[in-house]
Amino acid sequence: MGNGNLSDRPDASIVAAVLTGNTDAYSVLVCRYRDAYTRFAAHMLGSLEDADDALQLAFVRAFRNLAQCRDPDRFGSWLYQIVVNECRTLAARRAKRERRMIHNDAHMNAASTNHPAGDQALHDEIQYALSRLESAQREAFLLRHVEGLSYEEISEITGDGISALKMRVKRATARLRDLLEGVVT
Amino acid sequence: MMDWNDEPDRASVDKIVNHLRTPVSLDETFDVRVMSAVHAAALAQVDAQHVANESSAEADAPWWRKRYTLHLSAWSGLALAASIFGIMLIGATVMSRTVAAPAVQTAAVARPVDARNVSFILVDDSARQVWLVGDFNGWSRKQLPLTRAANGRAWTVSVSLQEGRHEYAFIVADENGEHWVADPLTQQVEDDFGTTSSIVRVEATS
Repeated sequence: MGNGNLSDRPDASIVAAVLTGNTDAYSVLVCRYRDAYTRFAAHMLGSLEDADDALQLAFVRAFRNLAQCRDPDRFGSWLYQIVVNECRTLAARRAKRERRMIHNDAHMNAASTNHPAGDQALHDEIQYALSRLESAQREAFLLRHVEGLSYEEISEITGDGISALKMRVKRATARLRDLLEGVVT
Repeated sequence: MMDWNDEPDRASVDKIVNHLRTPVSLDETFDVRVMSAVHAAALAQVDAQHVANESSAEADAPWWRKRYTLHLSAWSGLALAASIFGIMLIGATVMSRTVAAPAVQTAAVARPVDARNVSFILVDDSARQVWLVGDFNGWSRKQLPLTRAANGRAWTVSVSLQEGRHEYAFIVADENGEHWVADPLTQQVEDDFGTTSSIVRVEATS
């Protein structure tokens, strides 16, 4: 592939290489952003398989539209917008098909009051509580607190206003606390 | 550091966030699968550009080089067919009475040989061996073997192809024998016998 000398270069340099016909150079960008965005997608969609789909679609869509990336130095931020959109699309499609595992209050109550010990169990509880949030709230919460983005960055990625984002994060946090009461406290 | 000032129960939220910050990884084949799709997208873009260029060239062509479609009624079609048949009959009669013309030599048109390296990638974790076949190698089996990538799922081969349209497919050998596999990520074409192959268009390097 011969991308060894590209791996240390900034995004803009790699984008330029891809746009001039070095398709293999795109693998450097895939490697650079894959893990960071996988976590967000996995938590947004509640499934590693769906995260895989979302990331793959996002990377291919980004490649197809690479010439439209106005600021190649900020390729990562531009790609994040595409990842967020793919997650929204997949989540909406999945909601229609009702493919998700059955979530109901009885299950939630049982899980909350009688959860098994251990990190994995706690992680499952948290992931389950996260899945109970409204999609927009979950998205804002993850981007703000898990991925550590500023509200300005989130606004740029999602296209939503900062005050609306702050409200979503606040409500998501309060809802998570309610759902996980007795689990994480 | 996060601004939890407006959060009344920072410790519990921190605990949630710390759990969610645990790294999440996709399987090791992800990069290869993405790059396989990316290469397919790149080829599709070349294909689309080729079609666009052909359309553009035809639009700019003089009237005698453009393609036209004739819409004929049944009667006018019959009349046209009868006319053509009549002309052919007269022509055959005249030709049979003349000295045979010398055989026409088809002059080989001098064209610049222009080739590009094209990477073919197939992701198949059950394959034991994969070969590439196509019109560029006379559909010869086992002449162009693909190499298994380090992750064990992807198979690749790079072939130098001349510009133009090529049809190809993969021969995949697995525990059930050998199978003809059209590339699932590119445009496909079916021959008269129902065999499906894939299409790749190669543009000349500038």
